[in-house]
Amino acid sequence: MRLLLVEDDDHVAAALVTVLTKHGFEVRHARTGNEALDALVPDGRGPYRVVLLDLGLPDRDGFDVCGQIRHRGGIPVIMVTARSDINSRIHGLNLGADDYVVKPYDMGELLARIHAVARRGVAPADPGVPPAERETTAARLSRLSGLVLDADARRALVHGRPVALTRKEYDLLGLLAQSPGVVIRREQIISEVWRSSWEGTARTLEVHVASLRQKLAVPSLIETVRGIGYRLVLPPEPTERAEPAGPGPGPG
Amino acid sequence: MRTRLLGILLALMACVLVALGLPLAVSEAAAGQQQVLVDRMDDTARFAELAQNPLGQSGTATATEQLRTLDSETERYYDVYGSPVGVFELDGQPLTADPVSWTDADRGISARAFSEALDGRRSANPAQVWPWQTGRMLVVASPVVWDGDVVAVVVTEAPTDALRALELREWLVLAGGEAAAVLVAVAAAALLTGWVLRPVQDLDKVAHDIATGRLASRVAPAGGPPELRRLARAFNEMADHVELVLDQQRAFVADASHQLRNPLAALMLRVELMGMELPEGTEAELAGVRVEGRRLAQVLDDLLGLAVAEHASPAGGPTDLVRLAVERADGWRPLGLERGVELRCEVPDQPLLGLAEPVAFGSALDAVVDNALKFTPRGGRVTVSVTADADQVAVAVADTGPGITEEERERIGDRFWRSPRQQNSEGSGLGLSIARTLLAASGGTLTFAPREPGAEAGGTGGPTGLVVTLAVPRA
Repeated sequence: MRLLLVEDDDHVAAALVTVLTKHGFEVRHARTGNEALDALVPDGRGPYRVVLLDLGLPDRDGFDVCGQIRHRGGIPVIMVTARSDINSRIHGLNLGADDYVVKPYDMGELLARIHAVARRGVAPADPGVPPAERETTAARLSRLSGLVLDADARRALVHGRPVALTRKEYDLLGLLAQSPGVVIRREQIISEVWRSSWEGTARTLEVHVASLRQKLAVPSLIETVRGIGYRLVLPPEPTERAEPAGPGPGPG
Repeated sequence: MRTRLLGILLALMACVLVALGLPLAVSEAAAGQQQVLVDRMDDTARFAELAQNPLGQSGTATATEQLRTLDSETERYYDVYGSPVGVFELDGQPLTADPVSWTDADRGISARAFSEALDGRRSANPAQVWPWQTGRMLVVASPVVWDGDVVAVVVTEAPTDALRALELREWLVLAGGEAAAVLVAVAAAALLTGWVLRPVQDLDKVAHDIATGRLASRVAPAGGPPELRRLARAFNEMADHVELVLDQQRAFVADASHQLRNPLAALMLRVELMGMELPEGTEAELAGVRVEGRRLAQVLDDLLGLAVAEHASPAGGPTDLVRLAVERADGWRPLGLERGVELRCEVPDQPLLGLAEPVAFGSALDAVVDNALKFTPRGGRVTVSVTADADQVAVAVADTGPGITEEERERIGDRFWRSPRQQNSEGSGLGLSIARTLLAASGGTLTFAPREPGAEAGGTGGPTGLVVTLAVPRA
């Protein structure tokens, strides 16, 4: 999943880029409003799914940049800013921000918001890719790993072989398959699959992941990212198509 | 000040008027009397002249004729003027006298003047006649001289009624004039004190405004003495400076709270990164670091809140505090239930209007209720009540928490202060400070008192809990 981070403070940006990269996001960092608007010009590397926008920019007003981004396309914007007063929040949301996070934020909360906003937003088409070559996440998943999710029967097919999954196992796999390459944090999985925020479910999660790996029998499909969570890893593209080296290319 | 200034001016004016008026009144009286005396002396001199010839050449026919004339003249004089007049021999026996009852000039009120006339002097210069001396007579005696010898004495006794009436009239005119002068003086003094005190009143009002938070208030350039105008200008400069310093302080706090967020955000992100690399079993430590980070963020939020509260303008109209209190209490009740604390609302049925800005007052009440819920142990109770007296509407929040000691009461509500016994509770120590600042902006006050023992719940003896009262002026 590709993110655009607009942040003038290099220290915050460096830390945030590292954290987001660790979570499997591909992050482009823009220091100024103009740089951010330039970055939105399609470059053939896939559209951005979310823009993280700091309001305190050196060259332009952050609200103005937000309006411009909305104007250019439907990329969801999360305002990540030190301005905590209620008027800034209201103004930001009115201008078209999809969410508003005040610094200093909790990492887990920011990631959850990124996921929530990305889930809501329809992945915009990348004009750099011819329409014929666009493919859905599910299609790419099937093409690269042979994994197909049958939502009606709540079962998975691996290279055409049906795999019987329990309800929780299916939900878990479905969550990971939504954003291949992106690390889904443990607490997010626990929230979404077990509808609980209880830490004690962590062991249950490990058991389910182990069981899922065994049933799917695709080696290194589900990767454990230590200290963070799990992600679905797709094999590299076999074709010569210009894919970036990032772990989660394409339209999410 | 006004009364005193008026008093001093009027006292000075009164002194001047008395100092001028009394001698004037006396000299008027003296002039009036002098006029009468001169007339009487002329009269006595004429009679003395008339008597000169017949008395000096007595026995002749002409003398007898002249005596008769004198006699008729005195009689007519007495009839016309009502003043007794007589020609007396040297031993005081009358030669001719009207009225006839006057038989001895050497006795009674005419004795002194008579004896002076015997010595050949014209008596004059009797004591001054005052309007209140009823029955006083002005006695004038004149010797009748023949060949250098005193042969008789003419005495007149003039009644002073007309003179005294004249004096009284003149004095009334004088008093009237002085009264008019006093009135003019009062008016002038009132104008003068008004002119002098106007800048002082303006200063007083503006100083009060500034003290109650209306920092933009300034003394308008107005009249008054140059010294006070200078004072007003200096006061405005001072107020400008104070406002500037306060603005800078606020801006500093806001900036600091703002600028600290980026480093704190970077720090917390680095902590997260490090946490991913940490071995198993360090989650508790990591969670601790996160909590500290959130606490720091909370302090920054509250600091900013305080800076914003201090900047709040004291706009606000009549607000129904009963409804506001009920709304806020309803808002907090679920949290109270979660913590096992009952939140009660004791309010009158009819609305009580207080002068307050609803959002600011609501925020202040929130801070106070939050505080009460935080310190009330499970099973306790927080009571929100609204009361009013003649000048104020008060919202009181009483809890059954540990309360505060006398020394703590001095400090509660100070920025960053926490009870030493509650040092480890959540929060930044700014909540009540913000509440106080928000209230002060609309002329309200925040007071703290120990909860009356036994007022509720049977009274377990000893003060338990704290009552925080938010009072605003009644609308």
